[in-house]
Amino acid sequence: MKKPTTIDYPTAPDEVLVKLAQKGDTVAFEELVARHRDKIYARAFSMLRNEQDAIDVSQEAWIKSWQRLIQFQGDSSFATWMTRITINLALDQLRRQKRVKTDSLEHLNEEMGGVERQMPVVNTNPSEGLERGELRVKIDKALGQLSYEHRTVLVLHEFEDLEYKVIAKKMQCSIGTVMSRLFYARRKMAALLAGLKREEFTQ
Amino acid sequence: MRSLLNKMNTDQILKLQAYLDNEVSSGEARRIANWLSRDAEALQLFQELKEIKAAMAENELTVSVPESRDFYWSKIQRGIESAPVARPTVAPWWFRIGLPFAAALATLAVLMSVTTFDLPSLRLRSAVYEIDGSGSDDGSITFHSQSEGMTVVWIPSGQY
Amino acid sequence: MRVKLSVSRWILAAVLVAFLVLSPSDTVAAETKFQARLVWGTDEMKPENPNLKEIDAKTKEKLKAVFKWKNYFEVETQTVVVGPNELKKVKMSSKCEIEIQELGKDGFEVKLFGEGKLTKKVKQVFPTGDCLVLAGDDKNSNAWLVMLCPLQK
Repeated sequence: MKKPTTIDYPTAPDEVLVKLAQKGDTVAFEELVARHRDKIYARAFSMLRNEQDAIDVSQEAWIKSWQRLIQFQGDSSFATWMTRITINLALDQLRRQKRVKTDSLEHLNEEMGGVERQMPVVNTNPSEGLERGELRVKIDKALGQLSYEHRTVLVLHEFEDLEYKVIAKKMQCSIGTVMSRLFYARRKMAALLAGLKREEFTQ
Repeated sequence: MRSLLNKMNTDQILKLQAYLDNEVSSGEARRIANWLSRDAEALQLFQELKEIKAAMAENELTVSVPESRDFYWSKIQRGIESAPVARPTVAPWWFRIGLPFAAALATLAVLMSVTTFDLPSLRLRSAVYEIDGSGSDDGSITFHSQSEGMTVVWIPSGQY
Repeated sequence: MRVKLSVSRWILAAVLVAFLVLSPSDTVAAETKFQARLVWGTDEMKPENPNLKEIDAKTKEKLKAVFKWKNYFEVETQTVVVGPNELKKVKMSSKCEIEIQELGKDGFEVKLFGEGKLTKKVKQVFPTGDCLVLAGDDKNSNAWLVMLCPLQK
């Protein structure tokens, strides 16, 4: 692919790079990948919690976006559009994995509901006394302890700002299920961030 | 607190959460705000949910791809080189203008004479196919190459 | 198709206008003869299997204009005739089968089966001379292609 001589790729805005890439300029596309790869990988990792899976899914998302780039009209930012593709691929991967893994007893308890009613209300502010970096690490560790359904609904709602009905469509469940899972996930996160052990949930 | 949660039905609890997330109507929002102003235990639960929501906002851990730029790009590059890219094709101007004009002329010719003639084997009106990329659930891409006279459906790895 | 006009020119004109304007693709249903080919796309000069022969030059040029591989070898070729509303199955290899169902004015529905599983379903109307190509990655950065081309009578 011929590289246009007048473009400074590292400083060109996303819109310019996208237009060039839509015409087949792989150098422009590579610049987009370099620019947004961490964010896209991070989204995949937050959902999949496995480095290799996150690398595979994020790379697949880039390939898919190249194939569909002509359909990107600029209704959202390029980064947002890419994130949506990544989320859908990560959800597909999670569904495939779910068919393979057997459910733990805790997971079954989460699904059956009722556990969240047993948890004591956490009165302390979870971010109190923590530097931002420490809080982020703590939140990330706590996310890793949730089941994939609860983690996913939390990531999509709190980090991606998606509405209930959009999450329901992506997760192929009812809005009621999204709301229940979100409620459980938040209560469990509160307990985990407060450092409560599991046996304290049902006292 | 636990007694409150056991008293509240699921619908009430989830409405509290929906109020926090701006997913209720304005009328419902007013009723819930009213309820919270009268019920300390409900307010306590609401505060917990609100604090966790606030803690998570803007506090996603930033992680980086654990591979070098070149290595990460190399697999993507192989992927985009092997899969054809959908590009829209547009019917040439002479096709878009010529077909209706030819139809009008043919009509006129028939009206003016009585004769034997060959019914043309007409090309389909939609000789250019719309791309079926984003709408395809299985990730396959469909496009038409007018110059080569073929419609290609690319099926991604793992599907076959 | 030749039609002798023995009826009023006005009636025939109306029929012709309706035919041209409303549904130019509604040609008279007839049998369609297809050539179905399983092709292997590769950059290798010679395939391991010596029985595979290189595809004809004209098809090779068309494929090279669309796909990136340098060489294309024919794995299997079959001719199949599909009549109105008929369903025909074609076995291309031990792992690959296609089904072609004639749908009248909607063209054809082509189903691709890989190892017995439905992989892709495509509805296709075939303009004169145009082919349908279903393709995907094969191992070692090669490609498999199933080409379905209507043959001229």
